[in-house]
Amino acid sequence: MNQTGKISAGQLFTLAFLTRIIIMLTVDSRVAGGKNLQDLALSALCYLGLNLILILPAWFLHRRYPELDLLEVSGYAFGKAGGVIALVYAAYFLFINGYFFSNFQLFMENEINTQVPVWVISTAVLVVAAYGAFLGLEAIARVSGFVLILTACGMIFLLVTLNQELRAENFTPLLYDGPGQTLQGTLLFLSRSSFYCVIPFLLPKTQGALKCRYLFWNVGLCLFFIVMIVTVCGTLGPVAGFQNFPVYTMAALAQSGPFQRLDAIYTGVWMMGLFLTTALDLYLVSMCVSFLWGKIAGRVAILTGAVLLAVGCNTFLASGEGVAAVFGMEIVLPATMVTGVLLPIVILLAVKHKDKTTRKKEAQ
Amino acid sequence: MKGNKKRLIITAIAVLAAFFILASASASGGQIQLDDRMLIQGIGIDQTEDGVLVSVHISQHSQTEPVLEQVKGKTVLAAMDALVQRSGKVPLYSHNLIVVLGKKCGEEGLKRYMDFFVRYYEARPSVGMFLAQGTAEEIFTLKEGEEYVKPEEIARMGQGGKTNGWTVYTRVIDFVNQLQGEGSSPYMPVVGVKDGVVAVTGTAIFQEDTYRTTLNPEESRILLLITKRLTGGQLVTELPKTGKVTATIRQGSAQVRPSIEKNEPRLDIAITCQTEISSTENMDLAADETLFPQLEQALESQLQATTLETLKKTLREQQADPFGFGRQIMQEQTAWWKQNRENWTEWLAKLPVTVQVEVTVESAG
Repeated sequence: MNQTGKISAGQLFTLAFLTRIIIMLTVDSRVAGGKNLQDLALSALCYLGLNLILILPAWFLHRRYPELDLLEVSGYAFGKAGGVIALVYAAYFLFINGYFFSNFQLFMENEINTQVPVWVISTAVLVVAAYGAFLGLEAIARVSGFVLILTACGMIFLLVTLNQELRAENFTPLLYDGPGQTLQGTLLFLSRSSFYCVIPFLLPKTQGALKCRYLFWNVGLCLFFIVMIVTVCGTLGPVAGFQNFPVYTMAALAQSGPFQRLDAIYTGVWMMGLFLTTALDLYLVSMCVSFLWGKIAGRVAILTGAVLLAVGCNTFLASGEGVAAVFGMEIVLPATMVTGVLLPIVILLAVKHKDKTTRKKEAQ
Repeated sequence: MKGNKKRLIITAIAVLAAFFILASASASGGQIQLDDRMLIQGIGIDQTEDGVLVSVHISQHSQTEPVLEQVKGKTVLAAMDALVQRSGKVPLYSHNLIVVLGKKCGEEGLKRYMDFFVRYYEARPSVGMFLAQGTAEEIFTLKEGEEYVKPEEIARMGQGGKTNGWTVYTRVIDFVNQLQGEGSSPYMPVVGVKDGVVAVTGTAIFQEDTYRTTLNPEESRILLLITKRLTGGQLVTELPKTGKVTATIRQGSAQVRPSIEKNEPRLDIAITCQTEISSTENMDLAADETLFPQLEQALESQLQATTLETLKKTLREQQADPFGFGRQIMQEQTAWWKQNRENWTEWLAKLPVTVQVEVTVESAG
């Protein structure tokens, strides 16, 4: 593979960080399994440890075939049957993106109550994301650098202004109601970790110190989660337990001089993260479809994927009940673990077996 | 050439899509004009036989003083709908500064009125809360001169405690946290009409969501002191040699140490105050620093007496815990708290508390 079309390790993990922070921005007591959101700090630590382990199958695959992405390796391992894997991943990327997108729509409808129809706003985001996917990975990665600066400035400003709102009496002891919520929180973070699926596609397109950056990203993400959770719990107290979007409510309390009620920062950060996630996922859908049916089909798949997301999120996923039915933990977690961890293990074992068989044949 | 043509097509599609989105956004009605909005600055709620009487101060962009509107309804939002029916304007709650609840609402229980301010998407959790000494209507209909008392003035009164150390400041989020959180009782400033003028007169103490008693300004200071929110105020004492002496509090704090002895909780409260003399009736005081220990002792006795009186009024007589002692025990003695939290109000009536006060008079001003 030539050097054009490659991104740096820094860009890859910037993208990874920005697409992951929407996990934290959208957490609430309903999905976290209880009102003691503080226990999610422990979940973040467990998530850090698990991230280092669960990425290993993808890492070993990459180490064995550094210039081939997961689809190319599965094609080598399974032949034409490798196409099924491409379809599985394409479906997963659309599925998980529908999850994040529908959450965003619910937020816009319930918390913002915008005069402009929500479908118009989500269509705008989808159009921009589809355009980003058309432009390719390099464009998305370059935008992520710019977005990181904006996000970092916004979040730092928010956290600094909220410092005066922290109250010692708002905290509850960790594990107050037992370890159940910590476990639920860890499973929640894992279920939303679509990056396990993204990594095997992007590693061959990345150059630079991957191990070091991966560790840095993981620790940074964990610290971000912990700081956000502590700030949410310290500023909101027990009220956080019955808010649909506690981070949003927390942002509404932030003020510094004439700057008050900085919830717009929250909405902006979320939209930027969502745009990057959607653009990246649509790009990966096009990669999967291109693997099966060629480049033009891949381009068409971007538009098709965007339309499917738009239609899905504005029909059967337009309500909380619809979202809960389709995106319950019992569905999302296995989907992520199977596609992100189990399938790379299966492919890794298959290529090892194939290599062994090939060597035996050659020896004979 | 081929690449340029492709780029042109993509750009054309993007421009068409942008046009479509902008057109859809505008066609849906776009933003509501300011003239079509009711900018609500203050909400007063009184209980009636059938529901509530809502008194609202509305800011008009062409006028400086607020306009008063009053409506009745089964709930707050239902009453506001009646207001919309009258004016045709859409209420905007996000700029609301204060919520004043009538005393009767407090006596019947505030939970039924609070949900709107927590749940409704436009309601902000940082809005200041007050309990009216009588009715919220009295506060909202009172005119000082030609104008109604502005909600921002009442909001500012709520923050006066930073200077005088007599007024607590409670936001919606603080009240709900104290109500919903374990080991604490809610409180909020009381606002009333005094000599024809609106003023904060004390602190309302609640057990659960029901009003129980009012602390006077000196007792409110003790509440601020123990909850580590005291940032100012004056202490006045009198000695034979000095006459009345006013000491300004520069820094005040309290360390509360809960402990469990023989499975029973106890509290040790250590209060420290750094003060400086701001005025005396005897101008020679400045030259006689031997009087400082006597002053300190007098101030300590005074503070200790007021603290014990406040604790008796809240913990013993009302079994209310606005200081959050229960919450502190929950954080520090979690195992004991989990076993005994259901009976915390009973423990309050007999909780042994020791109070030590140390006042330092630092200079003669």
